[in-house]
Amino acid sequence: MSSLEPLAPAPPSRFVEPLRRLALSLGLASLLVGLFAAVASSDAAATLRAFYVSPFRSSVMMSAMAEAAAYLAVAALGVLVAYRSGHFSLGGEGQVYAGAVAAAFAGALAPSGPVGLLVALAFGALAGAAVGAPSALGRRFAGADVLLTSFLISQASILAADWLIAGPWRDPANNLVAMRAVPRASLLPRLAPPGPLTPAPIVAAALCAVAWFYFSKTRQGKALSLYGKNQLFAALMGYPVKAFSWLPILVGGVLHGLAGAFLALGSNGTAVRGISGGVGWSAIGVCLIAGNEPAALPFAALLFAWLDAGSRQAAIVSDLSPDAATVIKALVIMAATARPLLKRPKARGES
Amino acid sequence: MSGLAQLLASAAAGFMPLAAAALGGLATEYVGVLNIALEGLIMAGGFAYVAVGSAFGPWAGVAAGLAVPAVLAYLQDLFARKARADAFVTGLAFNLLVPGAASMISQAMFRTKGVVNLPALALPRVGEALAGAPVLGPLLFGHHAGFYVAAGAVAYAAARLGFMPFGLRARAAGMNPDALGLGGLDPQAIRSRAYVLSGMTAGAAGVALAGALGAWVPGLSAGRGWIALVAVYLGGKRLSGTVAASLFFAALLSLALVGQAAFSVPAELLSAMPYLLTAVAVIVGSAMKGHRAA
Repeated sequence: MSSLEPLAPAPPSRFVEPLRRLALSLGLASLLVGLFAAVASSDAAATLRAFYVSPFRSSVMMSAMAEAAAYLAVAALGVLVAYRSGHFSLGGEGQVYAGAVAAAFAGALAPSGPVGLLVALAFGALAGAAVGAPSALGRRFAGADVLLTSFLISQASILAADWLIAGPWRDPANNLVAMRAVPRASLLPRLAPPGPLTPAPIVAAALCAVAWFYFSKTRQGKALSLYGKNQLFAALMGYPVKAFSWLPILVGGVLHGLAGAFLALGSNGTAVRGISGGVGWSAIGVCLIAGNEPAALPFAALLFAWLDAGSRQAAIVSDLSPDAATVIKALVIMAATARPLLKRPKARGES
Repeated sequence: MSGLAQLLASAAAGFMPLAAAALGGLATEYVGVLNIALEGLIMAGGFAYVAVGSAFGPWAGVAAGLAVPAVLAYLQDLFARKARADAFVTGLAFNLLVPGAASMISQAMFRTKGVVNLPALALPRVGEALAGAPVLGPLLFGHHAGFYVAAGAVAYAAARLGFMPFGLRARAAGMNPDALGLGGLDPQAIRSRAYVLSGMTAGAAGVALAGALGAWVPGLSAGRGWIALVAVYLGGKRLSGTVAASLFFAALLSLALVGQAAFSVPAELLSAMPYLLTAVAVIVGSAMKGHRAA
């Protein structure tokens, strides 16, 4: 077969497919926004302004969007790490929630200041890992299906977190069902007040860059990706398959937990009931739209954050339901995996 | 009603919607493409029941609750096949799409995206006089009519999968579609039928849930679609196993529900127990299977 190789079309660059996927998603999302504005809103012009102008009108709005994208990107990176190793985890939502609760708990108890912030972040990450651990260990020692166990453990942890927030850890002085507020000095610092921008987007971008480097440039990262595609072949190659079978699931939990910690230690200032708000589920969509490419994650997360911000604004200035964003996201995710839309141009002679 | 009778009635009420959805999932597992969208399809069934039932009466609602998710499941499969999209991802997207769309339609129809309470849509209880009979009484009688709709869906799906040629063909389509094609049967058509069956049975589960309440509640399915998928796996992807796993999970949920009244343990922790126990069962079951294989 090697003699035919010169005739074969050059493989597309590693970035071409995610870029094509992102461009398609953005184009389709824009089209759907226009369609929803025309069909489901009584004031199409106001709706369009809400999507295309309002989120970019002020630095406060833009920084809020960047913050939302940061949580999504970090959680999506957690999905990606597990997915690259061949495991599809549905436990993200519970891991994010557990991370938020643990970070708020530790942040309120630890000494106020940067130490408190670091302790809170560490607790958040560890809580995410703790929720991911049964699935990881179940996979390692029993070969249990990660899809099932991650979902089940996540559901249980969501209920347990609900109980903690509404029960023993509830702040009785707060009218909301929320935990004690984390001291201001232990929260993520505001970079550009009055906007909610914190270092979270920078950390998210850095983590995505590290993941890109790991998967693209290191031998172990490539070995892990190969393990995800063919475990038997990876074993034959002598790769550390035992570690690959569970460590990525745990790392995914850490990243989800960190996303939860960012949520609690950002503009929320504590953990309120339901704080994860679907971040874990949306992260799966972000990862899919990014084509499982770490470098594309921040852009896919920004796309989702824009849709959320736009639909919230549209709900205020027009009668478009904020759920329009959810519907658009779902349709974009479906389209992003449609092969005819993603098919690269055929090279000459390719049948 | 005694404690045991209450427990049995609660377990039976929980079992039917779960088993209906799980058998739909099993049908798609047979054809080799597990429908991950059961959660969304249950909600589609419940919402269609309320939306159509509010205009044309509860029985028209029941018909819509079965038909709408069946059509949605057909379209889902059609999209995945024609666009050569990942069926798993398409299913995940459907789980996102249905609650969002239901909320938008609810806003337009009922001026609320929250609970739509329509007491006229609460389906009547059937055979209440017989519910007091020992053991079988609370299991079979005194439930809402939606329970029997789900029971019908369970019986229909079980018959098609276990006792009719469709079940064999579906398994053949999953194992070797080319061989099925050589035998003169269209594997794509069989896959479509399995998806339609999964939509219909999941819809029946939605009707049972919404019909019992006489209301549309956002998040109506409350994870039952996912639990149904767990039941398919826990049951070894076999008909009898899936039914038994559904029964196991329904019994756990029922125990948690009854336990909330009996013990002073927080409701959230008791509700978490079935998920934890099932996760343990999945892990232990996998370990035992691994030992047997070794």
